[in-house]
Amino acid sequence: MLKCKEVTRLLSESQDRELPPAQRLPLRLHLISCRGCRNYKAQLNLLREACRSYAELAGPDPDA
Amino acid sequence: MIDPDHLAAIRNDMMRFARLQLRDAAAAEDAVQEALLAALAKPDAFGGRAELKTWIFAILRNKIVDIIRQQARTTNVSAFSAEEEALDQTFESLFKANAHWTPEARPRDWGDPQAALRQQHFWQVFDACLNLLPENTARVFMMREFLEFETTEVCKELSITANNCNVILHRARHALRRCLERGWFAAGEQTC
Repeated sequence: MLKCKEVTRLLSESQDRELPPAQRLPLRLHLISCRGCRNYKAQLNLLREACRSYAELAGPDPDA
Repeated sequence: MIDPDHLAAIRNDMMRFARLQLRDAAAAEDAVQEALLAALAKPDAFGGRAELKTWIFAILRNKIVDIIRQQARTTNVSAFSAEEEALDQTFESLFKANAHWTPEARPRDWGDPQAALRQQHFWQVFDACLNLLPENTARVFMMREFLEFETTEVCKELSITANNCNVILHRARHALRRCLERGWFAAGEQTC
């Protein structure tokens, strides 16, 4: 059974490459039963979206 | 052809982006200057205003990548500083002995992410959190998420192992999400 600490590592890695099937299933099982890690996953997705849309959405620098 | 006011606004956004990527005001200025010159040299290469910004930012990204490649020859990105050590200790402190979240540290529901991205204040907090990342951690994260390198390319450019790259990206993401949770989403719902 996966622990939350390990799940944060797998969720980070899954942002960079597709995880092997042997890791995907235990991860999905963990997420079904752990709301904290589901939130963590959503938070990483938001981070990615913020970075990718930074140039378009971030407003002018107040110091500029 | 190109409206000077529009270009000035784009320049401000470019400076902010370049400073964030390079953490060096002089190098950022150079990169922006070169990208603008390249853009002005070909005023017919784009259609409308939106295309202009996208196009200039694409040039700027390339300039930044060139500078990072030059810097990578002289810096050791895998170096582990006291700041990184502190981030790792904070990370460990969020878990109980059984490696599950402590009740206080359990990640919260951030609500509608799209709503956050539309708010000016969110971006100020986001900038502050990015600037708080230790330099080497930030370098790897920026290459992956802002300059959109694949992790294999990041490893190659910076001469670090794939495993080290994963560790650094995990550290960066964790530090950022925690900084955002405290700085922006602190009023979010605590889950159980």
